[in-house]
Amino acid sequence: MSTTLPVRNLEEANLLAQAIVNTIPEPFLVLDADLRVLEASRSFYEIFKVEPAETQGCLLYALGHGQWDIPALRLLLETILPERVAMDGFEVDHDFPAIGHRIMLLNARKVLYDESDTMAILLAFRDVTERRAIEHEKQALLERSEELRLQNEVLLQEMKHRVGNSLQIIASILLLKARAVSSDETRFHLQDAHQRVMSVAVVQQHLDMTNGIDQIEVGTYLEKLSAGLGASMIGDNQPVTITVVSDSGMIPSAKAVSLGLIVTELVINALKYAFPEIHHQAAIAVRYTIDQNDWTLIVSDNGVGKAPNQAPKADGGLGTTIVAALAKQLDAKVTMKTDPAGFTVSVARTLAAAPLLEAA
Amino acid sequence: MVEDETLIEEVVVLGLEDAGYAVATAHTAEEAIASLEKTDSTVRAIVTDVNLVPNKLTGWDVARRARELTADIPIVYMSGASGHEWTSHGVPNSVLIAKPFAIGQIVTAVSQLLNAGGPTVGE
Repeated sequence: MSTTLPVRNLEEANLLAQAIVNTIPEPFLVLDADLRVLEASRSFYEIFKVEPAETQGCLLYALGHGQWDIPALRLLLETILPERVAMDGFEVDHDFPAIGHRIMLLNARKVLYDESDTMAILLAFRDVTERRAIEHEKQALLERSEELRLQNEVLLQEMKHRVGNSLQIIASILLLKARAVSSDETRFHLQDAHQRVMSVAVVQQHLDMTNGIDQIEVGTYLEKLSAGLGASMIGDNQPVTITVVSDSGMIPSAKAVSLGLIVTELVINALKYAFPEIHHQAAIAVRYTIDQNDWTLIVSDNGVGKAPNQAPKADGGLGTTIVAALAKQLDAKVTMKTDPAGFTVSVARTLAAAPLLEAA
Repeated sequence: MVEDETLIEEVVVLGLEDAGYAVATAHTAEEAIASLEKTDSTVRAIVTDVNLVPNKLTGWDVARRARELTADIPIVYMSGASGHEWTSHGVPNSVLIAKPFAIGQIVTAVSQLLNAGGPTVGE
């Protein structure tokens, strides 16, 4: 479909062309074959701060004290354009005396007439200085944040190393003290304290592997923790197998510390009291199950169990206190059961028991 | 056994001695390498901390030099940082034990490497 412009003669066509040129918000020039300005848009005068009188009829390169005598522009108009009809997005980077440093994208187009060997060149400018500045700023910000991220990574590694080392020193002191004291009871206390430090450390090590994310996978964590307990608590004279069966799921590190310490206390207790005599299949089972927001931790052994009316052991008191305190912190309930098959402690958190504390 | 932290050194030495090993100690990588280079060195396995401040050489360097001197010598690294550096800096068939560790872990690693005479015992 073709439409005819509402012009009746050359004069009207000229008026229309002029109106179009002046309406375009971006600076616009019409040049003749000699690169003399035939017409400039209103925006050209405004943006480059030049007057029509000193523009029209002048050679482009002579405009405004030669401010358009730019090598890149010469390249575009004298080399590129003669070979092709149009060129879009040609970038010119220049310091203009009146308006300062600008980055322009130029669109140039040759207009050839059928019945004449003259031609016109249309030249449109788009000022992308600010856009480029924003892009550069964005790039610089990206680079800076990447730099910060790497710095953080290094600091984090350094922190991990220091925390690991510090915990090792504390553990070493407790162990050295345990060797030095003459009282068996004191020695057991020191060994237990050592074990508690080690249990907290397991959380630290697991966080290491999950790259600073404050969540750890509960199954692998409990396995690692139990392996550590086994390695340091079980002597050659009484082998005890510790097994872990756990649902998989991510838990926050704070919860992991509490859970890990509960497991530590319960396993220490089992190792201390469940097998007073040699038992060839001595075993401790750690089970962790997840049911939506609820969870249950069960630590059981196949040892001698606990007499129902038995008073808490003097040195077992601390372990029991710790388990109770940690369970409370986790909104969980502790239940103990003893039968001929052994002793079972379950620590359960059910939503019904603590409906308001889910967010904690 | 190379460790700059005396308390940690003490505990590891006691643990290894309890297990029946004779232990020679060094506090820096330089010291450790010098003693390995002695012609009468009887070292059969190396337990080394990785970050040995403030010296330039690290536990990685001790292990590399030890392997140059004795091709299959067992190496156990102790490190507070996680093991990802181990893959690029550790020598083959070595074990890395994360700090803090139970002494039993070090003793077990040393014994297993000595008994196996080579293959990696994963940590």
